[in-house]
Amino acid sequence: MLFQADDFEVEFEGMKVAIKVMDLAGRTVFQLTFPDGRKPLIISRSKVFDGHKVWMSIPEGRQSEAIPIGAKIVEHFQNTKT
Amino acid sequence: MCYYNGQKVTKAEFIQLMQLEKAVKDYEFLNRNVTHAFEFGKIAVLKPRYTRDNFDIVQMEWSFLPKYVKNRDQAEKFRRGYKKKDGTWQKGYDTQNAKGGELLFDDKIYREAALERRCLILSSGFYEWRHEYGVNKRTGEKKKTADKYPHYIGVKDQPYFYVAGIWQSWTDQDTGETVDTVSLVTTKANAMMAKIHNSKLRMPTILPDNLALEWMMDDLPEERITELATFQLPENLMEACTVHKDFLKAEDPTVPFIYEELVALDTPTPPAQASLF
Repeated sequence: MLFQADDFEVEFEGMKVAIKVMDLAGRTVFQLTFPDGRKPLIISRSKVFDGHKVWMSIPEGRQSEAIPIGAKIVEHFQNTKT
Repeated sequence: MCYYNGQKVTKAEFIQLMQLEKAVKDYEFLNRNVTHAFEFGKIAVLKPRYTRDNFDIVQMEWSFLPKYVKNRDQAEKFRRGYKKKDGTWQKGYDTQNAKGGELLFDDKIYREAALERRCLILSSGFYEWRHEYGVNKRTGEKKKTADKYPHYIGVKDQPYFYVAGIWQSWTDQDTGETVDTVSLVTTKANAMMAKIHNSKLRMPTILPDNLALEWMMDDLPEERITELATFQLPENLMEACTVHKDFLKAEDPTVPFIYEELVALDTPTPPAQASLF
């Protein structure tokens, strides 16, 4: 995979998931490419009713992947800040 | 209140998520099994940003359209050909593929794009047909028309790879619609590809990551553009198998299919016998 300045990888279930940061419909989204052949996934951080932010799979249906990988993305940015 | 992914979100947020969903649908092209060249459909392309510090994955129409083509009607004629007033057939122009060694020729429509608008076509594999002239069982003579055997070709251990491309933004002067159109760069076939694509002896210019990045992002002198455009991926990095002749209708078109009558690709080609006279 070709990587550029703001692209990165995170570890998930023992594999390296490639993350590409994109702007779509005026929002920052993350495109996830998996090495095990499953379909790529796009996730975004969305504000829910009580004000918290939650990772969403776009379209709906892959929330079980969006949430843990989203957490890894947050972790990545926290680590690169310091 | 609305729910998205089972999460309670505001109506405004829900609308934004639906807009986002619509935008994401444009990325479904990454999951298409087969894009047929002669559909002139859209393919996945890595296009550098103006700043040349990153790229976007976009869709482009496969078949380069020069600016002098004025509208969709002319584009259709340009690509597919048309019957002229005198009843003769004007052949269409094949701009789906562009020969790497000729991109910079002064009389080619590709020159400006090769100098200024290079991109990468994202591929997980491609299909080519091997032409074999069998023997007519009744007459014992060599057939006049070839039997065509489709092959699926990929790069070993690479779910995706990059093919050199050049692109051109084109505007329909009747409607104002603007689309990016792209041509796939080809080079001389390596030994394996010469056995498969034996009618034309060409193959896509597949670039390893470092060369792919250079092709797309760097400001290159003409000599280097031609070097990269004619780069031939070695056969030991590629893999191929025969697939069913109806592969386009298959759910998974990449499933191997064995043709008993076909000599395997890895069978060495006998050296041509030197003339005795």
